[in-house]
Amino acid sequence: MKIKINNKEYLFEKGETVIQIADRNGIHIPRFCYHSKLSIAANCRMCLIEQVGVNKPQPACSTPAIENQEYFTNSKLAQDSQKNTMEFLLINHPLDCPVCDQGGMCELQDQAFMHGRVKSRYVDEKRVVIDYKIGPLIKTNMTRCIHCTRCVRYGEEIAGIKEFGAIGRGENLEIRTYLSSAINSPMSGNMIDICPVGALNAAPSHMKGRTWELEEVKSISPHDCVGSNMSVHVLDNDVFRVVPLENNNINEIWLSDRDRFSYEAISHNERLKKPIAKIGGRYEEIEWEQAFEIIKKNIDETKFGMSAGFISANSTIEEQYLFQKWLREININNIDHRVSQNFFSKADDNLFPKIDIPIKDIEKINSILLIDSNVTYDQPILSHKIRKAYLNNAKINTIQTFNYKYNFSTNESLLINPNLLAEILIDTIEYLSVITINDKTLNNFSIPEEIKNNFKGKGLTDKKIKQFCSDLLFDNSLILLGSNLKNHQDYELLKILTNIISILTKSNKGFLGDKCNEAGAWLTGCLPNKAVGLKDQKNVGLNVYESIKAELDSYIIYNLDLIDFYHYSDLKKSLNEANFVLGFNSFISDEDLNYYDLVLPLATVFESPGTFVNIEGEWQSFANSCKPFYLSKEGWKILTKLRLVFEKEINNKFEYIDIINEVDAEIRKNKEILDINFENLKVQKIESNTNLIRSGGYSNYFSDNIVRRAFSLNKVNNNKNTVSINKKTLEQNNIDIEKNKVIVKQGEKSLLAELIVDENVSDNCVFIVNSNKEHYELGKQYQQIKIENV
Amino acid sequence: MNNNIKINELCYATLSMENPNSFETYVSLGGYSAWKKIIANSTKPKDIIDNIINSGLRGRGGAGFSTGKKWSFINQDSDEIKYLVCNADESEPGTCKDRDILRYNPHALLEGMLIASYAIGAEVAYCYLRGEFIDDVYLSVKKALKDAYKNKLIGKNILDSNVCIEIHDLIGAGAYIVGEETAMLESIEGKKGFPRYKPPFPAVKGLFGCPTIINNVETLASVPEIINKGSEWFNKIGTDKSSGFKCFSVSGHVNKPGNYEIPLGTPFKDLLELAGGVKNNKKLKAVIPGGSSVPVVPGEKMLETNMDYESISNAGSMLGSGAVIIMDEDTNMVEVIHRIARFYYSESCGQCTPCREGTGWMYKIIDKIIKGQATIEDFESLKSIPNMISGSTICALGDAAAMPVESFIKYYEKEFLNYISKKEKKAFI
Repeated sequence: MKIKINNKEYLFEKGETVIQIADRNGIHIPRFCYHSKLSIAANCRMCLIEQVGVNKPQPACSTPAIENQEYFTNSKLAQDSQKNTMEFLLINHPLDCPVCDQGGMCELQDQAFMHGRVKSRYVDEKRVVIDYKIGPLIKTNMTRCIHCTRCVRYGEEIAGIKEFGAIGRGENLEIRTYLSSAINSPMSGNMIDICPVGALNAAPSHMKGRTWELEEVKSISPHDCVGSNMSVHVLDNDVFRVVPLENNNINEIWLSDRDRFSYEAISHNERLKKPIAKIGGRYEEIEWEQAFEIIKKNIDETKFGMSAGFISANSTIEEQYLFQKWLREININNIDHRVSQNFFSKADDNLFPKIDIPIKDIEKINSILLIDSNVTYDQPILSHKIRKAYLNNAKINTIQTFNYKYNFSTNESLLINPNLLAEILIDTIEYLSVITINDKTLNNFSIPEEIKNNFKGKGLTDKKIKQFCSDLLFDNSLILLGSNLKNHQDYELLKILTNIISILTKSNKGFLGDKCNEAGAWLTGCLPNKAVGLKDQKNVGLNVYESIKAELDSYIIYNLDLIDFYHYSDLKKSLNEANFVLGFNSFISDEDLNYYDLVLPLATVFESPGTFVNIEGEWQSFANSCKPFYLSKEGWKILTKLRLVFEKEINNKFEYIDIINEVDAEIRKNKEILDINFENLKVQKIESNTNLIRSGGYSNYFSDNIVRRAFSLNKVNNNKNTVSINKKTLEQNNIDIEKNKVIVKQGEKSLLAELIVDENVSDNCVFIVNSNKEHYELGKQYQQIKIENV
Repeated sequence: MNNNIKINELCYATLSMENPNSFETYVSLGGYSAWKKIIANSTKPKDIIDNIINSGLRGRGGAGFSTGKKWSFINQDSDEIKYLVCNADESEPGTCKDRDILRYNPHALLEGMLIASYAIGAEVAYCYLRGEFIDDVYLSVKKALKDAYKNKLIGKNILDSNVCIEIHDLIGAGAYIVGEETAMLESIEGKKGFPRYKPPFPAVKGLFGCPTIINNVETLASVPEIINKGSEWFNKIGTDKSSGFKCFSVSGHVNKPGNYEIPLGTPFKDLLELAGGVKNNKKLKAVIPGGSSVPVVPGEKMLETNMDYESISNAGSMLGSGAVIIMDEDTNMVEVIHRIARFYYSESCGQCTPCREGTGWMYKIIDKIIKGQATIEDFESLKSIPNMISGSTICALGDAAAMPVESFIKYYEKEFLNYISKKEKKAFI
């Protein structure tokens, strides 16, 4: 079909509006309320154009294109209308561009330049609007608001949490939160981007610089497993702000708050400036050369097999590659990155952390089963995709240990105790084994005997399980295993069970991660039993738990805070006993420092180039946004230098590009399809546990060493000392609800906390979100816990 | 005076009787016979719509669009749920005709709604009353609904047929803008009363996303008699293009202000006479013939005009909702427009820019004029604003705010200039 715009013919498809056709063909139509990702509001009236044959100007954003109709975007009627709207918009808009953060990147400023009058005819008082605090991330200046309602629609349609609304009428219309509450969405920062004026600004960078002074560097998010693309804006070698970079395969044009505001940690006061060593019982800043000498001396002294190295799954693939290479060169085989994993069975080595479908295809899925995943807060971008699927009428079911808050509605959800997760999945498999018995397309897939032995007949009668299965048997379905379950003792078993369900139902599966480069850590062989490219390692080392339990002589900890370890208290014990503890970190807290003999200052991800592999297996490289802080160094440089120190024959001019070439040659170009080998699949003994158990996971702004120190983000969560338990559990343990307080005990530690009676918690479970020191001092989640009256 | 004018024959038929709003009174006048006939004969909806089209009934809310044609926009063959909404959010300043229908003849409306719902295939109808009707009007409608339900005229299996039509009454919260049909739909859905952009039109995508017809109270209340007496009877009354009766709410400087239902095409002179003439035998200065949102017409011109859609249109104004506001020779026109501009300033919903900002700007300038603070540049700005607003907003409120200002300046510019040149000062400010 054809239409004519400004005397030129353009093709279009039914249902398109004039502005879409114009945008596609580069015809300029000014607009404020229209946004391609949001619904049409048609309220700003800036995009008025002339439709031939209609005497009134028509808004291009809401006018459906009509076959053979003629439009003019630059006729007198159109131009006059746009000019009039501009004049009206500027009546009450303060002309404070010199002190407005938006100045220089303001849509209103640009449009006023093109369509506005030279001098205002309006001479009376302008409207002034009270600003309400809406949280630590967004600075409001609502006097500047032009009521385009993009932020309102964003909340309703994209974030899925309606937080902004229009209150009042006419000139007194105000965009604000209901009852001046704070914005809670984990994707709230996007409102700053879509606001066409300076009404919503980023609070952390408020009044700290001007747009035109900034340099832009493309980068990749260092947090969840999604790998959102972002653009880092740098002012004089400091990260000024982070904004999303469009990538329609991953994050579209959105960014989660965690990715957007975590940069603030770069200038945290725990940042290391120089290497710090324990010399004569005191910690002193030393020079790099001296540090290398200490390392060489101590490592050489350590006996074979008595050292272990742990690296973060948040480090770049280059660092991980060099880390394991260096350690294996000096005969340290106890290498692992799975520090947050609770239990290791060595059974599922091939269950590589990934999702079977591209992230962009999640929105086309017909049915999703979420297994204990707090996806809305842990992986906000994935949650956005699931929300899109939900809006496309996908059925979303959950099996969960807590009724998490999602930004989509669930169809059926099953609330169960964490101890029973494996059991419920086995029940599901039992039901599936019956209904798929005649399915020849499964190629005689046989369910492992260990699992069959645990069939109890329950799966055949449970209505909800039947519902989950029948939904998963839809074409194009997906099972997602939550990232929080890493701490669960049955994690490996849950992975195997999830995998079996996905095979039986022919659905896609995904093991969600809370780290940005977990796949990279697997590929580079940062595992005790796998070498680079997931080849089998000849000299199998100890995994992280074994290494900690073995009380070795020396430990090397790369880019991890001690609380990142699941076996936190065991680790502390071992570190105390060890002869030499070497740390690589950008930050060090006073308390952590006590366990180290030497800490090397590491450049953060913003200060170093690198590559992350996200959950869909996409390799994304980025450059450094700014130079390293003080004397801290990029990880690849330190590790290369260390290899030299240990007299390995490498070219002295070893450059960054050389690592990339090596990694490319050994891993990327050599990519094997990661098939699951079921012959090796061993299922551990399956036992059910009836102890009172702690669950809760991390607060979403506590997940890694950068986010933990991001100043504004940590103001979002109220880190109250609370414990949630449901009524039934309280009654069973004879807890007096009236007192509003309870004592929780884990091992020898105990904590007095505020009690919240919450029916969102499953039976026989104590829900504590790890969000402050007291909580992780108490112990870790999925461990036995006791509750007592005050 | 022309003694042959038939007054209060249709919508106000029960007015002269005892207990005008009771079910019995309405039935005694042949009420619900049209509805019963339709149910008994299972009349085809299309026949009813054709009947209404032939009668020439036009929307009495203001726009004057053919009611039958509007009904015919509903796709009868589609399986979608359809809705009828009765717009009883009568808020136009000067208008009070619907209030008296609701108060004294609610059953005519209910019967009209039943017939309309039947004709368009709706099983649920809403009667949306303005917030200020919460007292007697609302109670009257409630009682009428109860009686009609009791007599099995509304509800499930009406009169033991297969026809089911539910009518719900709703009461607004007092916003003028909800009288705009799509804002009303938003309000019924429980949202803020913001008009929707069109297309899609309500007949395609209306209440809860389903095809919806929205009619004025007076329009619907006229329907039963048309079915009873036939479209020709109705068509003969009034003029060629404006057939039937119309209720006019006469207010302002007249001796007998009130609602008068007269045939369309009646000379304005006769209506004025019915209302007892201008107060204190003063001269007529100006008339706003269709509610505060239509352009003002100078008295002399008005005296030569008939009260029908076309004649008033020729006189440069609109019949609108039929609220006739009479102003005598002593009226200060700047004060009048000051008051009207204030109304639209405070009632603009604030959704779209020209109206949100423009109504305030106009009011502020007129306010300055009255206070003697305005300059001639301000007045020049004021003259240009109505043109900037009208036609560029989502709903008609922008035009409604612009038209009076434009017309007042057009006819009474001198009075504005007197203020600006300080010849006139107002004491009360």
